Amino acid sequence: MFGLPEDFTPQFLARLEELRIRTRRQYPGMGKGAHLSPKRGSSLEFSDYRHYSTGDDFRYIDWGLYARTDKYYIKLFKEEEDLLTYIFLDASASMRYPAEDRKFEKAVMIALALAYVALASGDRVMIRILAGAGDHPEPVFVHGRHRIVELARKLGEVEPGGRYDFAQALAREMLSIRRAGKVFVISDFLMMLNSVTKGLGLFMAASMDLTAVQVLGERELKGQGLDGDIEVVDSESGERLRVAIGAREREQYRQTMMRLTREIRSFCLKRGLHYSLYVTDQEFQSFFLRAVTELGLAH
Amino acid sequence: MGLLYPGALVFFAIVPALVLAYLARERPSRVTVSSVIAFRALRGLRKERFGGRPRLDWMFLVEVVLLSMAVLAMAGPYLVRKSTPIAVVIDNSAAMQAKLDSGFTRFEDAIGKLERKLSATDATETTIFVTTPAPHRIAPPFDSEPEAQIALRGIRSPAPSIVLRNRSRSSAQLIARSSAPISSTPNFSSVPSS
Repeated sequence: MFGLPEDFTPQFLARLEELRIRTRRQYPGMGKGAHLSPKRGSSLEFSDYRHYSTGDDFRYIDWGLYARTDKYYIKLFKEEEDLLTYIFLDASASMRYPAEDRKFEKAVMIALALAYVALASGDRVMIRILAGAGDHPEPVFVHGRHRIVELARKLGEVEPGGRYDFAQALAREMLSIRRAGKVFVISDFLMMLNSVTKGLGLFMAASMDLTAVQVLGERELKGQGLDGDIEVVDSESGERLRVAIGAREREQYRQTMMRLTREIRSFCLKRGLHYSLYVTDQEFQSFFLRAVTELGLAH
Repeated sequence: MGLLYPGALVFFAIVPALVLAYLARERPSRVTVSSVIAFRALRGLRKERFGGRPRLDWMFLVEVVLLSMAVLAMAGPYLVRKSTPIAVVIDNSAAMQAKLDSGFTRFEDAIGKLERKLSATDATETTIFVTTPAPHRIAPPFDSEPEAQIALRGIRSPAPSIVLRNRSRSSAQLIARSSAPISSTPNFSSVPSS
């Protein structure tokens, strides 16, 4: 439908519209929206008092307080603004393998679903592609739910490829980000753990609210299709390892993969970050709607 | 250097066969994976081998060295050491104190001749025996000619009043016993001075 993936049925989009992005802190936005902002404004959320001064709107004078103190005080309210949402999508070569798992395709679907949730609730979305080939969408904020079609078209032109250092790439991206907000990082995180922690730690240092979404293929998680004496080649670094895979080694491999995901999950949860693991054999719609809390969303 | 069983060297023909086997070793199927991080922890990990072109394989080198050593051992190599050991027996009995026309004693004359003889030879090992007070070797074999000459100059002849009773032992007997400890029970007899 309109260039969106098949899973984005009208029913699914309607379910997405019921969701909104939840943040643990308030961020200033760029326009009116539904999220409380640290700025003073005209919402119903009380913020503070200040002394009345000439020119203030006397409708905001707290008469009850005047009766008790015999002084004029103006009630201040919080502003409600839109939320700046950044979606970082890993498009390195590792997202291409195993080809049967279609990891990148699933990662794009998650990015689009998250973008739609944000756009539907009036927030601004910027999608930034890490590595990858083909035309990348411009790193600008888009606003309005109709822009999801444009995002889907642009993401459809991105081809996974190339290699990058996760922490360094994010550090470069952070230099061009001037406003804090909600961040989603979608990647397989199949890299050295310290690179992941350094990269994600950058967002914490910048006071961003982060959700890490790890996308892994069913085959790569379970080691399916690997058997006998094989030479495995790293899709990004080109490193080659000759391994003999049997039932015992496959189980060992699976446990190592699970340990890697547990370590990333543990890192995120200990620091109050959201973490969600999506394995490609899961049905996309049910995963997304079930992992609402893990993804940092709310109804 | 030689070989006891040179025929065993034919087994060196196995080395080219080993090289051929190494080159023709079955190449594993290659699989591109997203990351090799999880594979590094596998117990079944093997050393990276060439994929289409030979690479240095330490195991192969070790195999070749072991095989070569085994074949050489089968061939039985031996080493012939060329050396000219010299045994010198000096009679340092009282009779050697007799004066010669030159004014030197027989003993001094003998030592002088011996020094010149040692200088002329290319002896690799010199063993010195003396006959008095009992036949014995004066020191472990000397490896160089200067050491032997210094040792010769240190030999003293006993006083003429002491006569060695068993001086009649032959030089051959002394040399034959050179490797065994020499008996240290001298047997002297005194003779009346003239």
